[in-house]
Amino acid sequence: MLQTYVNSMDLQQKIKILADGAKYDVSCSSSGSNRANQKGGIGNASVCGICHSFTPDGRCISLLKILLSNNCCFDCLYCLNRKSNDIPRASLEPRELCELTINLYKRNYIEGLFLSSAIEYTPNNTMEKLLTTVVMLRRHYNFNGYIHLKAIPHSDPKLIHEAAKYADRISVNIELPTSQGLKLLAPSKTKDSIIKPMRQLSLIYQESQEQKNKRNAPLPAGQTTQLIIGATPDSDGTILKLSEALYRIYSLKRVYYSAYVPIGTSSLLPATPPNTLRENRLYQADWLIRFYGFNADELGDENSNLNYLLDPKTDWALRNMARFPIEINTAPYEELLRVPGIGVKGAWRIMQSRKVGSLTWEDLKRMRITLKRAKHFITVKGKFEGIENYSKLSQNLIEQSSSRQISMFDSDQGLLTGEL
Amino acid sequence: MLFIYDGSLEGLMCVIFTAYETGIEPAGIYPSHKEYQTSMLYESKYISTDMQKAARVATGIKRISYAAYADVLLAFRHMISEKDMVIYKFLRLLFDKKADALKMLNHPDVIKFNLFVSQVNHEIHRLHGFLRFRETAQGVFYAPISPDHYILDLLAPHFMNRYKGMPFCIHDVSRSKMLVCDGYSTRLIAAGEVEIELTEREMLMQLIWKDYYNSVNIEQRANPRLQRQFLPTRYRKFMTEFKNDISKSHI
Repeated sequence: MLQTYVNSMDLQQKIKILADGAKYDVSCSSSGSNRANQKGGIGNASVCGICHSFTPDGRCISLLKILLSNNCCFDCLYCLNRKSNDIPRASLEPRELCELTINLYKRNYIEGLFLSSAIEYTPNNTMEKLLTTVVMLRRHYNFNGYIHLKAIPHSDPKLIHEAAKYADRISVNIELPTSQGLKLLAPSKTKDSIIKPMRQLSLIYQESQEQKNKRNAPLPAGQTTQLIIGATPDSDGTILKLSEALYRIYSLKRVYYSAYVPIGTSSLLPATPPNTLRENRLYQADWLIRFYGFNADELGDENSNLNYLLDPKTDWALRNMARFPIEINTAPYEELLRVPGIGVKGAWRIMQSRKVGSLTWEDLKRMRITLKRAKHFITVKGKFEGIENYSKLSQNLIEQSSSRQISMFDSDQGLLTGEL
Repeated sequence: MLFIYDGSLEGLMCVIFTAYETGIEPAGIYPSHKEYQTSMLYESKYISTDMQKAARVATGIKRISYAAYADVLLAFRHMISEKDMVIYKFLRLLFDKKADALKMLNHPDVIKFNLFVSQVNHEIHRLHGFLRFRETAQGVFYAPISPDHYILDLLAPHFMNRYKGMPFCIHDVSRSKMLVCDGYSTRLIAAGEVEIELTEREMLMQLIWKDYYNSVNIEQRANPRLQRQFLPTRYRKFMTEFKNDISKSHI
């Protein structure tokens, strides 16, 4: 083991380069798996996920997120590691990576590993190397912590099938929302090379969920993907429609939206700073689709963007005033969820406490319902306390919203969550 | 009347027993080792701990809801001295309304109690993430912490499960207590200042982690307020990435 650290200066340099290369994949979760430790093993997975640190940009560090190699033979225009970029190149041997992972894990710095790679030589060659690393970590080092592995586009399905036995989660990034964007900015990756592994992974996940004994089922935490926002002119409507279809058809656990960070030198890409407000609105819309019972087309047309002045739920409510006000003491759960200012937790609290008594305005305030917003859409025991005039109401809600979003880059909501 | 007790959970159960037995509503409940304001308005009464009375109260709670009893154990570890009254008021409601009390999420006593429980739970979850082990020359992995609430022993199950066979100890520096695990079983000991010698590999891993932490950051998205929201400054004391230099010091 000491041999690994003889060239420790080189190791540190390599880690810096390979971690830097992996950071634009924003997936950070270590949740979804309840993998147990085994006799003689080290580690387990925590089903809710654990954040071990937070970076100055406010995002959580949960896994060792790193490339096995950043030496790429593809030349995707938006990517830092593209072949024609003049950057230092490095790679790690599987054993070096395993030693690094285990040592960080023992010190409780990480929940596990997030492993990706640039495409060295061929996709199959790269995928094999990733597989070797993961097998070594599980078998030789008896590691039972969390592993999130990237699937390399164009690689052999047999390799992906094998990898699913060892990983908790596998993902392949769509990155560009439409095939036109893909053709223009990442011509080496075809739509098929991305969709095929996604289809395969969703079948593996569905089969494993149907297993009676889920203990050693493959891919317990399913699959996710990432979409880059702002590298192409695609609208929010297009993006949300795509996400909705992905959740429905491929049983994806998460779609991540990453505001494009200009690092390339191509004229085909915008040079503007990352639009984190837009990213935040997309996460809010994504949350509405997954947890609040909304359809993508309720939130906007295919060719339009979200209203950035307001959160998507408030915007929808203003366009659907005929559905309001609803009575807090009798409305069903699905309708409570649609009220701006009432979140999933708030709606649940209302349902629970209604079982043993009726609610008053004071009760709602105590239960952390955001009455500043909600009062315009509800009655409590028949009484309405909101603004009736539509344009006055719009103005009021927009002012509230802008005082919460002080600047384009200062989001007071969690960056990777759309919870309101 | 102010009720004073010995500071143990059983002692608090006896306070509750006495309040029911005598019909007196406590105006305040305080553990004897903590200072409290003697008031002109209220008498003070010391409640001695009787294990049988305490068991009766515990059984009474469990009979209504085992989950509520588990929550009382958590709320008891809260650092705010008000916790005793918060627990008392919640139990008063629980004994009155039975299981219905658990659904009364609009009731101020339930809200306060649940808040205390969730704050303790939240800190346990946070420490699962923020606690850092250092490899010592003796082969034991040492982690200093200074949590708000008394949760040291509650950290044991998670880490014992995860690091089976790896000897470690978690040192609550502010309370001078240490959880020691030989890899298979744990015990709690009193421990003040400790002298620790770190290995070379440990120093290297700390440097690697600092480098990694800086590499992962995307500067164009700086948001210190959000970072503070998720990772309050008081938890950064023992975290490698926030140390200015990596020295042989174990802290």
